[in-house]
Amino acid sequence: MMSNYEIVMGLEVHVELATKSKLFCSCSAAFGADPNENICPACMGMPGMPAILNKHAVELGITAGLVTNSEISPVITFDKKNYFYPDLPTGYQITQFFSPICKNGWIDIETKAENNTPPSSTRITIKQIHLEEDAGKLVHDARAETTLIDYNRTSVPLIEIVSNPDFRTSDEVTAYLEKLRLLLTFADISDCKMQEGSMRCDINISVRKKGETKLGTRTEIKNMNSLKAITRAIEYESQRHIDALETGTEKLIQETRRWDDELGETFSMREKEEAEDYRYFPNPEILPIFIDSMWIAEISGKMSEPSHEKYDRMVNTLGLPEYDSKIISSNRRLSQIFDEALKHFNKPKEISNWILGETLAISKELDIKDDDISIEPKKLAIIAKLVDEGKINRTVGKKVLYEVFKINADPEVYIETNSLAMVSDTKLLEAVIQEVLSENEKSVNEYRSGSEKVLGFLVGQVMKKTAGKADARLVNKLLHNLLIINK
Amino acid sequence: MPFNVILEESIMQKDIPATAGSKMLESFISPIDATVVTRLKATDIKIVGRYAFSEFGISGLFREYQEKKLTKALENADVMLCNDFTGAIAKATKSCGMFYIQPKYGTVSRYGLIPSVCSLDQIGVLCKDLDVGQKVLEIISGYDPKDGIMNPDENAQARDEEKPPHSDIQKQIKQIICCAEFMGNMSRYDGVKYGYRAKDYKDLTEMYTKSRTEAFGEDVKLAIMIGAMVLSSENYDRYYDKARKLIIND
Amino acid sequence: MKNIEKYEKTAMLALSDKERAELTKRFDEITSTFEVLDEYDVKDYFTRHCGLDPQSHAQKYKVKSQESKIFNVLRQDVVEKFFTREKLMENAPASDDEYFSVPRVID
Repeated sequence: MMSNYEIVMGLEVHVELATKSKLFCSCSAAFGADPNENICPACMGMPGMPAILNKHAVELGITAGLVTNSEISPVITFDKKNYFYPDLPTGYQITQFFSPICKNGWIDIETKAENNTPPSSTRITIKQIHLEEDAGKLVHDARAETTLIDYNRTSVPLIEIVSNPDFRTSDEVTAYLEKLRLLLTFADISDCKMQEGSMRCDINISVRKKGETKLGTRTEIKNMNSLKAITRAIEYESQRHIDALETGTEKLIQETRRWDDELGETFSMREKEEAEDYRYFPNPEILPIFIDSMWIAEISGKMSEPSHEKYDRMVNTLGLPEYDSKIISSNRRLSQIFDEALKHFNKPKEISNWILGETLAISKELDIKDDDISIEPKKLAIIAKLVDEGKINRTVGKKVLYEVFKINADPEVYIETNSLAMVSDTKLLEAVIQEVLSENEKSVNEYRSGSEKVLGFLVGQVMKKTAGKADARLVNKLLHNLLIINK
Repeated sequence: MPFNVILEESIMQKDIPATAGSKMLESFISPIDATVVTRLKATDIKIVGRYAFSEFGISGLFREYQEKKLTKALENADVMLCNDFTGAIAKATKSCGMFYIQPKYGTVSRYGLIPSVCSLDQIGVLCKDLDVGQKVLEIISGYDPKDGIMNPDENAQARDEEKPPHSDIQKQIKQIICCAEFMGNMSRYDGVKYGYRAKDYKDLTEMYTKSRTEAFGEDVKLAIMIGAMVLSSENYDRYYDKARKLIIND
Repeated sequence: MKNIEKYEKTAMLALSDKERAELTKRFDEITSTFEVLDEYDVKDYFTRHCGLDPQSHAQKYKVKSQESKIFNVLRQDVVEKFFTREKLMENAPASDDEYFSVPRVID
């Protein structure tokens, strides 16, 4: 059984950097363009256009080193990794074989508690981080027996984060990936969207009897792009290894496998007779980059507030509840909205409530992911302020926010145009209340005989008559008074 | 200065085939003008033709160029721009009264030059009259941000005739370095995006191998394979790494 | 006699028997002259400065000397588009409007 064996895993995580242009040319690195729209002679393999390194990509590489506690190399060069494949138009990938930009980093992760045991903290050590180019995309056209090639993604900047084989459970793997995502998104290194391929993961996995120090035969599962699939794949593959060792029905060989999520199995990829020889050599086109402490300090100074610091600040300095702070400080987009909105309306609790309440409710309704919420934080702040000042009521506020989501409405213009200002005229409201009371004798009698809850219904009727604009608190008070008076 | 200039087939001119002297690129229409071409076009110098000494210039690594090649090149022109990374062109000028001005590495833009050996590629000037050659060099040289190895502070200058260290093994060092980098620069020619593609093939691998085998000449294939050998993981330290260290150390 | 078939495969070539025989002869002639490099010891030839062996570049550079050298050649992260897809696919041996095309890749 499993308990005799220990699973040993290492991860190679490829992360697409959030640069505007590609690593060695000025084509757009944006996701989602039409095929072959973002290409030039350099990145589609034509001769004659020398490669010129993107400064921002280097800086994001340095930043990745900073958030992973890594040593940053004082000099880096780039190398050619040579092989033939249709997604590689130049016949070589420019990568860093001889001098990776960062080495010897680490990340602490917390894995969930089981059966009343407290959550444990584990340190995952990172062997290195290096910069490299991404490859193009292949589309298989079954009808025509051809493969189609889109070079948009060629030469998009990547960092590859290579861990040491420190993982023992799939929980640790998912905790690591979630932590990486948090660190990298908050440092604006990448948007880390697994579903879009801007974060991909290869798992190296082997098993050994507990107590053994030697590593077992390892297999590699490539290009995993969802946390759930990763957990399932690890469970399957580790069991496959154990079964092979226990029963001997299958021979374990060092190979690359791919995970089929539908079938729930890994499959051997096409075997090669011998390991590919990549013939690495330093790329003479790209001169060395010297990274000195001044440059590193400059980058460190410009870094955005990391997630855990934001959490501490929200709880300790701004006095917000831990739960609320956790949710906002765990998502880059929500944090950005919070920080920016606060600049325009400095009431943290109000802003926090508007984000966790109305904003998330509307985004859920419109099927927009947290990462993709694109409302202007300033507009949210304006709405929160207007409600706080009693200029509009909260229901109207939510309606206006909805319009900001849908058509990027200007709150004040929208309120003006649709006459949504809160109605707080006491005389006017008393008149409406009288009307409601006279139309609803039955309810009034129920109230008189002791039923408090009918109050809500009556308030609702008043709101209806005022098209939702009445000051609900005032209505409540006036209604209460009128009912008592008339008793 | 109404000079006539011939361009080596490795120097790209917009909307004109840039063949590099190879069947692989016979049909390759260049989308760009090389920087040296742009600079020439800004004067009254006329580009009157194109010529190749050998396929991607690699034959100069294995044999000498005959005089008649040089005389043919400058038949109808005063000057030819070419990439003498092997040194064979300069050597051949000695016996036919011509001159080759080899610029200091990094002083003439390689933007628009079909690369052979990146650490040695440089566009120089073949000429009959040294003054004329020098004038042309001044026009084409100078900083270009599109080439990442250029120094903004350096002006065009001819490279001094320096005596390299380890002259007795200079040939071997040169061949090792050239073949290795050349191999890397020839991998992009695969019949996929442009250039020669074989007519019949049963699968992707055969498309690659047939296209490359049919379109490359003997010297190119030889250089690529020597390159693959010296860069193989078992040989890297012994040949390429060592050659690199010997080329600059005494 | 070295077997060049391994390098032939790596280089994505498929030589005829005649070609292979001819090229093997030339390959051996040339590569046998490389063996003289074994007589040279380069273990002290490296890392002149900043932990870097400036081995790939014909330009000599030493940080301590006044000799001109360039490094840190970097481009600002701006997007520029100079070519249309049509222009760049002009030379394609096989394509549909939007994609380059090759025989089916089996994975």
